[in-house]
Amino acid sequence: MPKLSGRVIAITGGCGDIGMATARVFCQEGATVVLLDVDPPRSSLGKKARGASNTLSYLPCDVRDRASVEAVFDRILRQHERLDVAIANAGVVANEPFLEITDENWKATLDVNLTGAFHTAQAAARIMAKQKPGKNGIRGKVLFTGSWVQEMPWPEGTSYIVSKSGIKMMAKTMAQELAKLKILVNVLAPGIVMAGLSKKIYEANPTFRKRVGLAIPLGEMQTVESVAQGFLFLASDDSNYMTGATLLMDGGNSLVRRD
Amino acid sequence: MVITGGGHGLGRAVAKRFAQERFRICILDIDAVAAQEVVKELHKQCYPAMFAQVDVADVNSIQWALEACVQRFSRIDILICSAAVAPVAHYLEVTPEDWDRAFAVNVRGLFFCNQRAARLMRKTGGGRIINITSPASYMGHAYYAAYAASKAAVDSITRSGAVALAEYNIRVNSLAPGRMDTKMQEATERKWAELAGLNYEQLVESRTQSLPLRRRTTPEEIAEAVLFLAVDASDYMTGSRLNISGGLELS
Repeated sequence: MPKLSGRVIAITGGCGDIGMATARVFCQEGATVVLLDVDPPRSSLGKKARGASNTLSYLPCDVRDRASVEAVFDRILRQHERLDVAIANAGVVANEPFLEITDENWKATLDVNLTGAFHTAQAAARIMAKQKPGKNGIRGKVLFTGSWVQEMPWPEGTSYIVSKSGIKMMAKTMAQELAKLKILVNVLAPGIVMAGLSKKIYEANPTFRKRVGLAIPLGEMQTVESVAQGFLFLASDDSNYMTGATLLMDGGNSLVRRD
Repeated sequence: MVITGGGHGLGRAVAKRFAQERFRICILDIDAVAAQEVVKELHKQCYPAMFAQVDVADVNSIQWALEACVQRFSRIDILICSAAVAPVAHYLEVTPEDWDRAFAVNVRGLFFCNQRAARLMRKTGGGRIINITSPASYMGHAYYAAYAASKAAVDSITRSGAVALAEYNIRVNSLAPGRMDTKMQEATERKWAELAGLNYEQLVESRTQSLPLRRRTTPEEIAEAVLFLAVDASDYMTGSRLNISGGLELS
């Protein structure tokens, strides 16, 4: 039984590793997925993600720019007539020791990760608020990519951690306010994912590899498929009583104090 | 899959859902009659199932029951601890017996179920433990002090288990359901209403309408989330707490 049959789903940062893996899983479950990103999909991944009876498309979008976000969501609504799930997944990481963080680093991180998430969530929720509930009684779901570090510090990650922690509270406040409209809002908090920047550092840096092996109780970095499965649970009807919550999938990272 | 408290309420719904997914089911409950009823229903649909009476307040009873499961099905892959008691009394009236009972079942019993199952899982390459907690673990509640404290302990046991058992390929997570229509929920709210001099129906109504989603959940709805914690999709989760409370728990 496909779990997302006919659902229209938008993913910001959709062309990154997590976005593509999630789109792949969603398409397999019957969803119509729109990837929103400043970068277009790498074409080989784009082809792999398409299944037999689903649609996958891309719209350029810069989440830092309110007008850009509103324009793409408006276009999605006109084309698909509704929006069932929006995932605010666009994010950047720029680690720096606290004493060296520049205003540029701070602003760049918060502009994408927090303000960008806000633009996405608000645009999506405004559409959902006006549409009829689906057969499942729900108008829509807004999901955020958080992080295990929304609960626990990691060295040199201040601006990133602040942005993810901000997302956590945004999700809870949205959930509280929008529950009566049957708009559910939740956060998926992954662990250290083998993707993007972390993947590059892991491959290049033995110190990082050692630190990671010691830091993660389950002993390995997380796959993007694992994150995608978490989003599937949150997007599907299996979690319709969940709102204002964080699904923490971090291999036990946030339990462990480390040197 | 082994489930304590499998004879009633949430445990029963979880057992049925897991049976549909081809898990072989062991119903553990202090109420042997109820446990047997569930097994009969599962057998009618040709699902493999057995029951064992267990008093989780007695560690020997736990050990015996788990060994009976292994004897029948040769391994334990999933343990779900759903057995609990919820004594209701105003904070100023809680008796030592109330307190000890809550902890004997909800904490001590849960811990030793986790531990004894983990010893068996370690021998067969790993497994999953799912502990049912409650939004009460974070809340202050004038009438549920013992219950709430016991659930806070469940959260801690879950975290310690996750850390201790990761190397054996055992994942430990907890799940906090919101207000559900079960006998336990009804019994606790009736008792609270009686003690506080409130009208039961009005109490239930206000405690439903005050929820962000303005409705209670059901054991069947929660069972889907319990299932998620037991399958490959959640393989990277350990030490976490799945809050499925309809917005009741926002902190």
